[in-house]
Order: sequence, then C-alpha cells, then structure tokens
Amino acid sequence: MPRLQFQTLSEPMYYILLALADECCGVDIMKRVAELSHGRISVGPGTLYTLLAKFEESGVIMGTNSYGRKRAYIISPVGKKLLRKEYTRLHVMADDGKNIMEGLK
Amino acid sequence: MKTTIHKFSLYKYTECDALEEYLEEMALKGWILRDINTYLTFEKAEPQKLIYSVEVFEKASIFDTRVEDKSKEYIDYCQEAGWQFVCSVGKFHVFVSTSDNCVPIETDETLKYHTIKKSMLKQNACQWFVLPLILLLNIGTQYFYSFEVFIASSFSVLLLLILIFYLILIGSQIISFCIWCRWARKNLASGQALPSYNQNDLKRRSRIRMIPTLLTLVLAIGMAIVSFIEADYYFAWFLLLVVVVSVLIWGVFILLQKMKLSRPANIALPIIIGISVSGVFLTLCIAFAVASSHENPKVYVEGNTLSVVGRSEIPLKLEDLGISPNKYRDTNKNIYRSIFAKYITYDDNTSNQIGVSDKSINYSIFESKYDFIINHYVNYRLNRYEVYKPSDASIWGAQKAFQTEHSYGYLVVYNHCVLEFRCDKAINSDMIKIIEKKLNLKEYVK
Repeated sequence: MPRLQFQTLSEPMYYILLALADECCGVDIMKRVAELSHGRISVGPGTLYTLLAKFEESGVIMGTNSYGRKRAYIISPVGKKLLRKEYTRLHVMADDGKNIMEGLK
Repeated sequence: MKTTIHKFSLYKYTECDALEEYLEEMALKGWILRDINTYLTFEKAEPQKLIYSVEVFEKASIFDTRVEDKSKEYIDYCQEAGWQFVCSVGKFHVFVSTSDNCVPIETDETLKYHTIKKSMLKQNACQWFVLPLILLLNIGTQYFYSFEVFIASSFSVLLLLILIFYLILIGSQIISFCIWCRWARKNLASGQALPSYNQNDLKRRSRIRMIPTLLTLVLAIGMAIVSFIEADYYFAWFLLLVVVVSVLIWGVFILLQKMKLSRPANIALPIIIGISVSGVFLTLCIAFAVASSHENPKVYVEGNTLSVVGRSEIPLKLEDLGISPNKYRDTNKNIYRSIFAKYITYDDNTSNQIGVSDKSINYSIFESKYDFIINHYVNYRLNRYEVYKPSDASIWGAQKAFQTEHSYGYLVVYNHCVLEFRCDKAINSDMIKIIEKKLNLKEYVK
C-alpha cells in the first residue's frame, strides 16, 4: 500500500500532476507547467526533482520509460484520485464563493 | 601573474547563501570558481556579473568523488532550466547563470528546509554524536581502569583537554544549528524565505570556529616541549603517531580525490586501509609494550638467583625487609608524570618457578600538589577491590593510614603524597623505619 502523505496539494504539486496526465519526461515538466499555468507558476528544477522523487515513492506517479538519463513519468490511479479530489475541492471552493463574489462590488 | 587561487572553504549546508554571495563577489573581481573541495579553486578571467546558485542535493554523499548518476539526473534538470553546472563536493552542487531571470532552482522553501536539515544531521551524525561518545568511553575506561595512571599521564590529560575543547566546539555547532532550525521554522510559518547568513557574519563565525582547534594545537605543542624537557619520550612518540596518521589520512583523501572511484569504493577503501594500518600499529604497539615492560632489562645470576632487573634501581628491595630472594627474581619500576600528578610504582618479586610469585613487595608513591586530587585518589583506592580499615597513622608519621582487612596492604596519606605498600607479611615498626628512610618519606611529613 503506498504511503499517502499529501492531504492537500500545493499549487506546484497540482500543476505537476496535471502535466503528468500524459506521459512526460521529468525535465520537460517545467515547460509543461509553465504552459498549463500560462506562465503563472514556475517550478524550480531542484524542487521538481525532489517532488517527483516523493511522488514516485508514494505511488502517486509511475516511471515509464528511460531515454538515456531522461526518465519519463505518468500519473498513477492513486495520483488520478488525488488530483480529482483536489480538483473537486478547488471547484467546490470556487462555487461556494460564486454567489457572494458576484454580489461584491 | 597568478591565474589560479585557492581559498579555504568551511561552509555548512545552512550557509549556501553566504557562499553564493562570496562567489558572486569573486566573479565581479574577475575570479571564476572552477572547483570546490576542502578549498575553492578560482581562475582568473574578465570581471563579470554572474549569478550563482549553491544547492544541497540530498542524494549525493560526501563519499562521491565523481558525479554519480543521481546527481547527473539532478544536474540535467537544472541545466534544462538554464543553470550551468560548475562543480560539486559532498551534497553541495554549484550552478551558475549569466542571466538573472532563470527560475530559481529551489522554489519551495519548506522542501528546501527539510533537505538542508536532513543533510546537516546526516553529515554531522558522526562528529556530533559518535566521535564524542567514543572519546568519552575511552576517557571513562581509562579513569575506571586506573585513576592514578589516568591523572598522572600527560597523554590522558591531553586527551581530556582535547575532549573538553571538542565538546565545546560540537556544542556550539549543535546550538547554532538548533537556532537556525527554529529561525527557519518561524520564517516558514510566516511565509518568509529561509534565514540566510551574509559573508561578514560568516567570517566572524569561522574565526570563532577556529579557536578550539588552535587551542588544541597550542596545547599539543606545549606538551610536546614539556615532554622533551622532561625526557618523557612516550608523549613524543604519541605525537609522532598523530602526525603520521594525519598525513596518512590526508594522503588517502588526496588519492581518492584523484582516483574518482565509485561511492562504495570510496567508503570501503578507507575502512580497509584504516583497519590494516591500525592492525600494523597495534601489533607494533604490543611488541613495543612487551619489549619495554622492563626498561632495558638486565638479566644476571647472583649466587643461586637469576634476576631480571629494570634499568633503574628500585629504592627498597626484598632484602631490606629481611626477605631472601629465591631462584628467580623480577624487579620493576614505572613512572607516570603529568602536570597534575606523579605516580611511580615499584615491585620486587621472587620465586622458585618462573611466572609464579612466592614472595613479593610492591609499593607506589602518588604525588600531587593539589589536595583534591590526593583526596580523590585516597577515596578511589579505599573503594576499589579490598576492604580497608583505619590504622595508626602516627607510626608512619603520616596524616592518615589505612590497612586492608584480609592482607598486608597499607595506604598511608602524607601531605601531597600517598604511599601504598603491599607485602606478604605484617610489617613492624622497625620495618616502617627502613621504608621511611629508603623512600625518603620524611620529605613529605612537613
């Protein structure tokens, strides 16, 4: 049983998991994250490396292929569940605020 | 004109920012970092503005002399983000960039904090916890084995002082690390960056860090001079040993740096070399100890007696107390001297069979200028193996005297001196007079 240590996902974690919806090389994730967030979020390479190792260790992502030293990853079923949970949470949060925010001038 | 310079590097994993600052200053002066080791190597170039990023990579190890696969992967990530890899030592990895709009390598301060904390603990586990423990055990064993030899030996006194300096050094390191951790947690809780040290703070700190090392060095040199003046060459031999071992360690270190072996080899090789070298040393030491158990032994036959006698004559012999020697005889004397105390042991054994002692006397004189050491020694002896009872001190002309309950052992306390005397028969006042005269005890009566 993979050890789950991520109760809520930080922004960079969320975008990294989004980026890994399709198989992606570790080093290319940085670009993917920047694209997905329209340049709003940038993940440092060191942080990315540490996070990928943690994700893999707890079974949130899986290594797929190695292209030389480049390793590719894809999100695992556990990761998908985690991502969906986070997505729902963010959605609920936005919905909850919707009426009030529209009323705010 | 010089094209390379070397600077000592005493940076810790909590001080990456200070190192970055230093490297950037050097680049502005036209010195570009080429290599990092126990020292930093700079090469002369055009003065330029460079951005350095010094990172702690947890999966690297101080045993890496070449860039391991894990590190290579990490470096690939950083290069993808526009950071050029310069060099690495242990977990330190140095990157450089010419543009200041590169994404920082670490964008998550909490992750960074945990990496640094874990790395610091791993790196220092040995010198913070294991080494002091070994030293304490060593000193404890020496103390319990024989307090008198412990306090009267320059070597153990030096070891004790070194341990004290060392514990102060370790203590200050641990405290400053704890302060850093507290400070970091506080900053993280309020969403700020990790605490950083600037170059000037660090210069002051590294000067303070040198103090215990310098004190130990001064002390060792001082004691070496004293031991030469007093012609106590054991200590000189010990110092020589320390120098040889340090040179050896340094040599192995340099060799490993050059050979660029894999991590397991870098761990295994020093252990194998260490074990074999200490094996050789141990054998030599045991041989030396056996050879010198009698200082320049003299073997001679006198009438019916075969004697083994140490170079220095002992002041009081079996004959003096009316005991005639048998076929074999063994006489010995040992001197221990330190700044705190002097301890001399004498023994005289005789028997008709080698290795068995039929009749013997042995006695020791423990001298110290310090009352608390004398008192401690007396209490230590009284609570050792045998039961002592107080006896008449006046026949010895001493302050206090004790006698063992089941044998003929005496502990006589004078001013600044303690005589311990053991014999196979009870001693009478005539014998005490002889002992007093031969051992010059009057001197201590004052």
